[in-house]
Amino acid sequence: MRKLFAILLATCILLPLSAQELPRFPSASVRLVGVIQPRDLQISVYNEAGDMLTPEEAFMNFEFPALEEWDVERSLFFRYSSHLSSQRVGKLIFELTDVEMNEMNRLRTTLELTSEHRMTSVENGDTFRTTFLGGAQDDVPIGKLTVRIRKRAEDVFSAGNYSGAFSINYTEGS
Amino acid sequence: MNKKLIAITLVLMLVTSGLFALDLSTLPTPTATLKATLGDYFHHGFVNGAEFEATKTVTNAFGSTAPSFDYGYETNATGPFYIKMAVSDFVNVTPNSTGTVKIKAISVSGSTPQWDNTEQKYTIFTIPASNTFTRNVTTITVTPALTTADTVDHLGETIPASETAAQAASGEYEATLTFSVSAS
Repeated sequence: MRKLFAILLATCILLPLSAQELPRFPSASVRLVGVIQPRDLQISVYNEAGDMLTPEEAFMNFEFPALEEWDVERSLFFRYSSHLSSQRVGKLIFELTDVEMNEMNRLRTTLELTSEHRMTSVENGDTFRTTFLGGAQDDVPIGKLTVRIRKRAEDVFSAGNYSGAFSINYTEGS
Repeated sequence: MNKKLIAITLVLMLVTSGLFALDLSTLPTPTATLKATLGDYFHHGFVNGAEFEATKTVTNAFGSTAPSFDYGYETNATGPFYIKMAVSDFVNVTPNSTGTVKIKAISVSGSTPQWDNTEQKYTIFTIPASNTFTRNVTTITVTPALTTADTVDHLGETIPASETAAQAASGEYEATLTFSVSAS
């Protein structure tokens, strides 16, 4: 009994020593702040030779062969660069007129859009619907636009200069 | 004189004779002992002159010069105890934005600090059991992954290109380094 009492007493005396903890010191913290500046969406157009076209140069030249039937096409390639904080969905909607010299001489044009980029889909045959990704994106392909002009054997057109126009509208949102 | 009176007189004489028999040369020298207790103290934080501040903000972390700051402590406590630093990646704090920028390297006074794999923290200082008074200050430099050429982070993990400042989403990013004291 005495031994047990002695052990209990010793335990009580030693317990505070073993339970002694390091005083709780408050922690200190430092915040490091960095900013990545946004860069708005910039869409670039390239011709078949890979030259970037400025708005002033963005025209397509067609040379029609002196044949009964012909089918000519020209393509433009669209890419984008940006540094957005979050991804954004946008649409490039193309509108194309026929190519004509006058009312009697009008060549029908067709528009063809294709894209192999996983974030772009083609809608209604005239629209690229693209998800512009957040973060730095440099010259990311959107898709290829092809304008095709065809003359069938029965078509008769006067020689001369023909002109038409296509326009691109950009809208944001799905 | 009766017997009682004689007895009382004898007792008084015996008691008082001790006083007269006192030898002054054997008296102990009086000593005043002044006692004071000095408690343990520990101050740590980010150096601002002679002071340590508990919080600090370093801006322009993605600039051409890697951000750095001076951290230190002052204590009279005996160890052993340890000052450890927890590190978070840079996280995009811009509303409705996401993104992470990894930390490429961390150095303490030009050297790579010791990584505690259990606590997932760096050990910055060790206060030994023999400590009496110590004041230590060190410069800590944090290098963010700025370009896609930064392919390995400070822990040896691969950095995806999308988690570098060159390719992460735009916005304001914050990384937090927390210094705490532990017994092991």
